[in-house]
Amino acid sequence: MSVRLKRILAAAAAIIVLVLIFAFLQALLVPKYMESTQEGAMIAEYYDEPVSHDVLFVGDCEVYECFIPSVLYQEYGITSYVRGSAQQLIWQSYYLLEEMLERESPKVVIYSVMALKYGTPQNEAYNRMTLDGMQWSKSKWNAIKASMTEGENMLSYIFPILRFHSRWSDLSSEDFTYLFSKDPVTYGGYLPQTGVVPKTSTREGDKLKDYRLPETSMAYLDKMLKLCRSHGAELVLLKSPTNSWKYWWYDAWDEQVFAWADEHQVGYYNLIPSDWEIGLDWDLDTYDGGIHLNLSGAEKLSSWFGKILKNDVELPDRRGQADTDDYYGKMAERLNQLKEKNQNEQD
Amino acid sequence: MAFVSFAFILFLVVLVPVYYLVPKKAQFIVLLAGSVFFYAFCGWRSLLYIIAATLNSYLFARWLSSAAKKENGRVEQMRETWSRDERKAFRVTSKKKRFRILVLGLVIGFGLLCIPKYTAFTVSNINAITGASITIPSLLLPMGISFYTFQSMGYLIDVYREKTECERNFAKYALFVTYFPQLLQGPISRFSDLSPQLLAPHDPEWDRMMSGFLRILWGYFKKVVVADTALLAVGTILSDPETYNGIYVFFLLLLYAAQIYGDFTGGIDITLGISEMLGIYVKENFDHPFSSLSTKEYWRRWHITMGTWFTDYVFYPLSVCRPMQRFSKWSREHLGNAVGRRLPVYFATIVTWFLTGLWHGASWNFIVWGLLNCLVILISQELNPLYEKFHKRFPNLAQNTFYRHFAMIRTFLLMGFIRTLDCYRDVPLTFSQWGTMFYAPGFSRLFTEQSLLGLNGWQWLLLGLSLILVWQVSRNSPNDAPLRHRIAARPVAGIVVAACLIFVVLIFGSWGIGFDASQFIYNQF
Amino acid sequence: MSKIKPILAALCAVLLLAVCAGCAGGQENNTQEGRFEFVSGGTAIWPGQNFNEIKDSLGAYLTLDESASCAFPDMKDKVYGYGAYEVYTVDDGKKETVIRITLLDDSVTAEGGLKIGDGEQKVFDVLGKKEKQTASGLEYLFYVKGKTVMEIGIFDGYVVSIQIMEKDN
Repeated sequence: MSVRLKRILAAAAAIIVLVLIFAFLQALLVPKYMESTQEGAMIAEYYDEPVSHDVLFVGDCEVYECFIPSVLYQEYGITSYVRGSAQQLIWQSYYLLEEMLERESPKVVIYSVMALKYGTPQNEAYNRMTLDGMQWSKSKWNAIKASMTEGENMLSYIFPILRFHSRWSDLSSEDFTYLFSKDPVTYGGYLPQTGVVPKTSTREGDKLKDYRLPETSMAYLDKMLKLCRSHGAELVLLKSPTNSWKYWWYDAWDEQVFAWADEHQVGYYNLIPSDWEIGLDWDLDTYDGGIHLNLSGAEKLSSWFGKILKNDVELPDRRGQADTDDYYGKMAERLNQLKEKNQNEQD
Repeated sequence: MAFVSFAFILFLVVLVPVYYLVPKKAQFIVLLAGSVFFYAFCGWRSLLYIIAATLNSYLFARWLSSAAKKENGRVEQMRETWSRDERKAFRVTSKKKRFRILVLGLVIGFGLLCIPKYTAFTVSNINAITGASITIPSLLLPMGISFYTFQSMGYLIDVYREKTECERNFAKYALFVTYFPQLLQGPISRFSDLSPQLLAPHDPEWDRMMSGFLRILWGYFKKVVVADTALLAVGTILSDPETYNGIYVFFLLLLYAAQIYGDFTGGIDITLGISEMLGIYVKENFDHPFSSLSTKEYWRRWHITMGTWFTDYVFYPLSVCRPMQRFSKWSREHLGNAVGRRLPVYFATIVTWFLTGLWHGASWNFIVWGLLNCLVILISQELNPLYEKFHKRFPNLAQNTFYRHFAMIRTFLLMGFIRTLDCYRDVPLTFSQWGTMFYAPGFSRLFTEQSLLGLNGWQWLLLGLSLILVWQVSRNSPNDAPLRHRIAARPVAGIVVAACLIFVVLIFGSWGIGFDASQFIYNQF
Repeated sequence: MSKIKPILAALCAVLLLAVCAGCAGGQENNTQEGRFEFVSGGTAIWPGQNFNEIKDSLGAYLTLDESASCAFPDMKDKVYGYGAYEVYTVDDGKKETVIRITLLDDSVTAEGGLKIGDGEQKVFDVLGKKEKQTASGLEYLFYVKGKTVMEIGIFDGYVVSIQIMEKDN
């Protein structure tokens, strides 16, 4: 073998070794979101879904802590997935939806309108929790570009080690345990919370200087509608029944969304006035003083909303299909185990 | 464009290969274009400043050179006609004329520095003294203005002194002023040292480029691992002086020494490393300063080019100028030889250090810093006869290891104390914090969470280990035979060390979101 | 070389600089040093302050509304109600920082004795005349001091709201 060839092979081997070391370190240092801040693991779980869905939920905590796919399936035969994440901004919802619609053809897309109030990039931590879990695609690229706050750069999304290198001093057993694989944290995208903290605050939202929903948000809502219709899906807007002073749904916003929905012939459900009808008990059905629903509240809401959905939208009853029966059955079983575990801990 | 940024790394990755790929005659153009591009990142206004500074020194140098040529030409022409005295008189008149040209050039050149840098300080002091309420103007302070101004003014003075030839090609001269690696932190180069290298053709050589690359990586290590980690603790102490007083002031002294050493020498390593990769050898700016045994020695080893600039262009001219000679004569006649001999030197020293302090920053803490350094130097000068007597009495002491370490630590602590003026940026506060070290040290706070100063155990371990590493490398790496040369001479070792440094900087560096990646301290100068 | 050329060139450089310098600052420098504070019972409160340092001296609060952040249960927004005023803080589990102070009635005063119910002329007398900005049916005056902003809501020529908050960067 000539000296030149040896040098080339040595250089190639060195590069491969360096790349492997780099990949290993990156895998070690990125947060796993398995034991704490599980919200960061949610987006990526979608890619493991074995079944397609007739209903897709997109949005922030008002979807992923409110709607349980196994309840919707077992009571109404509705197959669904909740692609939610913490403080998911509307353009992130749009690009996530764009990505999902390339893989499947749902009949209904339900969007939680709470995040319409954000017209500009908000928070780097929430961005990472939503965007890092996406597989690389044009949708992800566009979502990152639209979401980056000051100080962020695309390179740190391409090579997350550039963002998370500082975790070297915070590494724990979780980082090693879940280095190569992760356990599911959600139930079809639903993230259960079993705690109970009654709602006691009667404070309302602060007065705002400007009640107009941002133009950027409304533009993305238009795009979302166009996207849905081009894929034969019906867009439905939804406001969950929670209404806390920090995440207050103002009447002015409600009017704007109603007007938009009316103009575009899109269904809009504001569930705030329906909490009694849903059967929500604000002493028992919330884990954080009324900001979000706990498991008990989510079960009631899913059961109630499933009926609305079934009445208002033509959705097939998939019960009886072996693959969906099996999948949602296991999901329900897992959820029951969680409830039992929680019950045992309380006892 | 900051050194610690992806943009700068990309810039280097493009520039270095392009530099070697273009025809050798065009290499300096690539450097000039790169330098302008680099500086343009600071904004078009900053770019205009540096162009104005370059233009000013270039034109006045041409004028001086032209005047000198005319003078020599005239003397040559009149050699047969003029007497010796007439020739001498003509030379004196011509020199005065050239001096006036120099002064005008310096006034404009330093004016370009002083207006943005010192106007706010001057106005605020006038307001404070007179009770006036003159609006303090908000002026742009271009990055590195102190460095390139000193560099270009040094060139102008050298042309006046006929120590260096005037550069007639504007582009070649502009490269000397704008040469990008040293724009932000120096060193302050001399035209005769730097320019020939900038203009000479260079071929890529593996050993030299690897050595330069290792130096760059070492610079990043010192900056983002050592300096920026220390900065986290320094920042905690400075965020609440009332809480972090007493013993914490001593910690600040130590931590800030680590921070500024890592930051400044790291930046210089990056500068010199880049230059080495390009085949350009810029003068060293540090020579193991913390191994100094005296303050005087410290200032021969720390920020060397600044020290020599002030010595060559302020101290010596001031010491030997006519008014000073007259003052020296007067003081010897009226105050006696002992005092008379000292006064001119001391006066020149005080002025030099006053200006050095002012150069560091437009605020009183820097002026006091400069004057305190001056005081220490003058006191040690006065005590010199005593030291000499002492060492005569104990002749072997100077070579004694224990004594040498004592002198090193003494110098380190003395310089460190004075340097805390840079931390607090407030003279009364600094002095009162010094006081708390003695009357309220608060040792009981040492083993509480507060004493972690915002760092966790791992970060303290990292800081400790990296300081040990820096110390060991420094011990085994004299400036004239650096360790990296030996490593670079072995390709495999060079690649392994480079890879290790890259990973260490990548993972352990205090940079990116969450660290508010601090820029080099001296950037602001 | 002609003597005039370098002089002219240097003068041009200086003029260029003067233009640059004039442009460079650009912003109206109407901010003062210091900060807006609200004083209650001898305790000063200001945005950016560590609330734990003054919590006890403010006495018992009458109401407390808390709201955790999505995915970060340790990060809480809190509003402490003290009757005549309320203090909005953010608690990240390590440090609780004052974000905003809101005066709720005319029994408490802000800078220069300003209180709810005062005429807008008094605001101008104390803080200086400014252009009002209109939003959601109210007119607002914004005054900046250091890193703090005092926002005064005006309706029909009278002060209806006073808030002190951090200045956005």
